[in-house]
Amino acid sequence: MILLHAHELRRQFRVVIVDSRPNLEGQQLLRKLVEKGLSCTYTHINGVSYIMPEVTKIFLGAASVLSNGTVYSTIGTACVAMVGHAYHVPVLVCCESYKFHERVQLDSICSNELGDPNVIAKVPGRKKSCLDDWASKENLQLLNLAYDVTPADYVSTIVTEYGLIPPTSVPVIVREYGREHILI
Amino acid sequence: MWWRSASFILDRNDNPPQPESRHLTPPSSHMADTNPNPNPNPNPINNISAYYQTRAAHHGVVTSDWLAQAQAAVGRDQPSDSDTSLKSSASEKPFSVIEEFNNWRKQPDLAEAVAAIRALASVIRSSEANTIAELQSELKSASDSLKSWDRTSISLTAGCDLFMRYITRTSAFEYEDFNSAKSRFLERAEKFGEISYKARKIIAMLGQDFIFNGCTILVHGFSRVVLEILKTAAESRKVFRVLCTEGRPDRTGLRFANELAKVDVPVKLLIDSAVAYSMDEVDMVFVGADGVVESGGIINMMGTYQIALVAKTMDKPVYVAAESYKFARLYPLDQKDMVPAARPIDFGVPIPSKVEVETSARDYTPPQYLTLLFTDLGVLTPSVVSDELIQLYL
Repeated sequence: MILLHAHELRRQFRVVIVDSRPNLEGQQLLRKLVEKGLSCTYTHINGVSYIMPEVTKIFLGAASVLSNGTVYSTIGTACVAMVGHAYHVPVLVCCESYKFHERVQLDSICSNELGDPNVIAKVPGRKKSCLDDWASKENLQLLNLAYDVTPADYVSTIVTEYGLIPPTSVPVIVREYGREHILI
Repeated sequence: MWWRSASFILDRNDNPPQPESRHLTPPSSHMADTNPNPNPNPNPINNISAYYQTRAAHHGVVTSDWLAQAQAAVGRDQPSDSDTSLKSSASEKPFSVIEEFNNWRKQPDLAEAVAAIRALASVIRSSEANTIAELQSELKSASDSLKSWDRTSISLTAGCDLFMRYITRTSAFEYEDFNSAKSRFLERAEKFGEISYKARKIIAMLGQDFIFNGCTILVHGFSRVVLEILKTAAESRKVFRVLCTEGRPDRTGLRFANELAKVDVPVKLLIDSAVAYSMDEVDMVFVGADGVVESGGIINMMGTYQIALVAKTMDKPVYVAAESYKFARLYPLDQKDMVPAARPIDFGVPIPSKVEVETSARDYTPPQYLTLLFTDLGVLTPSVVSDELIQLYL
């Protein structure tokens, strides 16, 4: 929505969409943007360090932002943010304030969600894959995690409806405005 | 065609007016600061920052540009007098805010924000409004015109916003009659001047605790707050020495050294390039701030970022002394992400016109290079700035 709004305001910019298996959610975004006439580049997450020198800003979404400034979002986000940080590209996380939570998390594994492992085993375009009978192998596990965690150091700013805030101020918003959202 | 930055500000101007700013040729379209002009911004073309020009005037720096400007102003004064007398009767109010502000700002010891608030107080005094809403809208337009007159000055914007915020908050008392509300606003404006003066004292008391006997302090830029801290430490008989960077082109270091010599503090002057060389023997770095931004970083005189980088690499703490009214709701993503504030730089020798000069007067130091902020709200870490701003503005 941010990109569409900027396009309506006649800003000149180009979008690089980084997508990842198995959900390939980037394709929906790509379709919507190309329909509206934005110039887009589409790449897989393997190519993120290749495309990063051409990028001036990174926009990421979030499922939640935790109280130590950690961003909890779709898997792959941490990777993009880390590469962006290494190339000194500002990372902007766009997240509404109702998604802020007072929990603090240090790693990606606790309270994550698992997706369907069979989806990883299937590679589109190939009829047979060597992982087809993975279930029969005892010492093989397929892990399809849904979320990952991006440390606050990689995030330059969080864009909320209250304005731009630094990741360290998330607990302040939770403290000041958290009470209003409690439904009695 | 050169590398594009992540700046919001530069993105907005499609073609940043770089070719226009050949500031070494005497600008013919320049108006001097004191020349009243229906066009609010006196330096629309060359983006030269009025804020930094005033500071240079305080420091007594006379550049060839400034001389040319002053001469042009003198030459222009005679014909423009008749103009202004006609105009002033018709449109007193819009002029007077900016005039007032300029008058206050010329005093070297007065902070920008205080000058702004005094100018707004004069608007209240001379206002003929009968309701609070009318007064508020008058103030809002005066505040907007002040802000647009010099968009580069952060403390000006922050001071105006603070005062407007105070007005809107206290206007919630509808039971009072208009005159007492008005006098209360005026009283608050007067108090603000005192508060700002007291703020320096508080910061000095907090800051001088960090200065131990036998330490070496590196200072950059001429900050009246930092000067107050050092003077207070000297008065409590602490033994320390100060290294001042020269601070070209404003020669801030020379003036700072002068002030310190008056209170018998041992001072050593460094050229700006000698900072890394001397950083080994430094125990701490003290800087002031033109503005403190929401991320916790500071906007200060050009060179501060460099010094902070060197200090961080060598594990020396960087302390910033800033009053709380300098907190601004800005969030620069990189160096170019601020309203450009240009200062004419005089190299002393003529430069060929093909050669560009970087004229920005200030830079942005991100919060990870700053250790602590000394403010009148206490000694804070950079992440608390956003906390304070949220409490104040949201």
